[in-house]
Amino acid sequence: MHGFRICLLLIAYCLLLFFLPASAAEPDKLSVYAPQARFSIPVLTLDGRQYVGLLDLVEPLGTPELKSEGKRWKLRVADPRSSGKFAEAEFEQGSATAKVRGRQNTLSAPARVENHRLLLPLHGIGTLLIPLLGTDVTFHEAARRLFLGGTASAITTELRKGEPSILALHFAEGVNPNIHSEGNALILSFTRDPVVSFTESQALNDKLFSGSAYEEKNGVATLTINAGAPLLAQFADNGRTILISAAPAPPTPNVTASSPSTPQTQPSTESGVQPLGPGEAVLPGALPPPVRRPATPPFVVVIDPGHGGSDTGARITPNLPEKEITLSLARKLRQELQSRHIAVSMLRDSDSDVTLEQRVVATNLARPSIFVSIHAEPGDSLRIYTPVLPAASETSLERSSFLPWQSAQGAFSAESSSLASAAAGALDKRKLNAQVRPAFLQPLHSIAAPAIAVEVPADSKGAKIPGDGLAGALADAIAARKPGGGTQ
Amino acid sequence: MIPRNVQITLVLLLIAILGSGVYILLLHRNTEEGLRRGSDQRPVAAPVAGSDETLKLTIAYDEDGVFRTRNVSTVVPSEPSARAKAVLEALIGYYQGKPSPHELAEGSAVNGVFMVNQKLAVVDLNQALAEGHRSGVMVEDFTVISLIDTLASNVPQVQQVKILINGKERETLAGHADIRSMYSTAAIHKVVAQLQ
Repeated sequence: MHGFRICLLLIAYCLLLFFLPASAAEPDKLSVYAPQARFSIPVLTLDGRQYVGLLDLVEPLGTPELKSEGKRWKLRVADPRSSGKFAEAEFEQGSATAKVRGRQNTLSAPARVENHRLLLPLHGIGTLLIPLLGTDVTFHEAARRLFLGGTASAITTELRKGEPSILALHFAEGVNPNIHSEGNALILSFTRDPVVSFTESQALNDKLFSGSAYEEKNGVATLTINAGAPLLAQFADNGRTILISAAPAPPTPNVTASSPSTPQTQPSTESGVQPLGPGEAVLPGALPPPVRRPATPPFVVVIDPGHGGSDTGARITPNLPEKEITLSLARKLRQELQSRHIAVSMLRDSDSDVTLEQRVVATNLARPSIFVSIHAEPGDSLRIYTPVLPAASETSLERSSFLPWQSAQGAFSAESSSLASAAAGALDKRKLNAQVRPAFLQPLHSIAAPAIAVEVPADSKGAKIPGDGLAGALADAIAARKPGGGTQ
Repeated sequence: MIPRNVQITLVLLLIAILGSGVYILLLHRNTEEGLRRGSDQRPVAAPVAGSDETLKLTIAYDEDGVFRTRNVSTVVPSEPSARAKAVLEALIGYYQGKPSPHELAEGSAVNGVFMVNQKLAVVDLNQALAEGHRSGVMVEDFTVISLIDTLASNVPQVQQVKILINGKERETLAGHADIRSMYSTAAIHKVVAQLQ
């Protein structure tokens, strides 16, 4: 009897484990697109109404100050319309009235405070942001997509008829959608790109393409291209164009089975779930997989803009902290890498606090091919650092085994050194002299990938090295390591 | 009736007598204070028990980005913890001289060095050294490397070094150099050899 009860408990536990992930819905979020930052913030549902944290919303847009005095909350943000001035707003817990720039505004529901956070109702948030930020606001409330400062840009489609036809999607700026396929449909999900479409569905009346459907939901815009055969997506024009065409016929089962080392022309369909950048140029439709081929891991570069938030880094001048230079250079490097069709992940894209441990966790979870940390200091020399472990081990670590947290970099030391030399060589080609040096630098010790740090000399005007030249040279060195030659 | 001139003389004499009295009183007090100070036999610092030795300091040169060895002579205690502290104090003293090849913040000092199992040295640096340290990958690394290599060169039994700031663990010295990890003196020496 006792054994039977244990069995029942075990079965119930297994069922719970089985159903738990399936029932866990994606949390509600609001995607915000502003000229200075693109981000998503959580949306809370309280008493049937949706709320967002005020500081969550305005913090990435500048450096706001939010102070509470009892039930009253005062917000002060830099006025984007006149530099050196500030816009102020006042809110009261439990009150649906707010004072913005001295004028009364009515909220759709009373402001709330939960866990010391001031929450404002999502419904009608745009009417509050227009006077506060002094900018255009377009709010797709049902889809929870907020466009500030006229960032929204329409997708235009161009069908190039032929044998076979090609569908070109044009965007105002480079995009970085997540692309995957379901049957013969190719699905592009835009989370960080402020793209919109004026038509929900479009018939294409082509032999290959039957039509397209556009949908916005929970902060994400999704464009589905339906076709009569598996499709392939390729990026062009620095990510401003996506060319969709028929996927080449899959290799015969016998060929694939007999030669597993045959270079793959297409990654497996599983790659569709990875966050892909413009560099992931080829994305297939569902091909009948007679034999499962080993998936090629995507080539991803993680960029770590040093410091951020309360950690300012070195003071280049009293008003210019290191964190600003590192972020600016990181963005340039991302742009250069994406123009070479290399997927990039940034550890921060705004002035936010990210601890060293969080940087390591995010990097190692992304399983990057290369990690680049960016730093700046008041000086004259450009330096590239290769990580050295504080506790040198005579025996080298094997990548196939578990890597110790403190010294995971030990398994990649040789590749890190080689990458540093290649980066110095690429800089030299652009007449930029860089020293390669060893360093006991955090968080590189725990990074499970070839890793380097770049320290740029800076003064009151910012980096002394031209950012484009530096980023271009680093991107060249990284692209050369991409399997298949990097650039396409 | 006392003539007027005699009256004036008497008043002047009285003032002179009072002035002299006050002066003698102050002189007496000062002499007493001086005697009291001179007779205070309480110790103000621990006597340095040890011999005059030549220490090998691994000195960082920021300008050239290298390390060079410099010898200094100083009295070094024989007890390992005290010896390790004296060695690091000599190094910090070298950096605080003018001109300095690698400037450290004013007030930088070693709170103490604690030997564990004779192989592990726990170096406790003061807040001024960390808070006032220049922020940068190389400058921070140079401080850490210089401290550890100097310690290893002069206290050879030390094989591992852990750095604390005011008795507490810290991730980085000033935003870059790792001071949370335990350093092996062999790893440090390898880097010094590369950068000499």
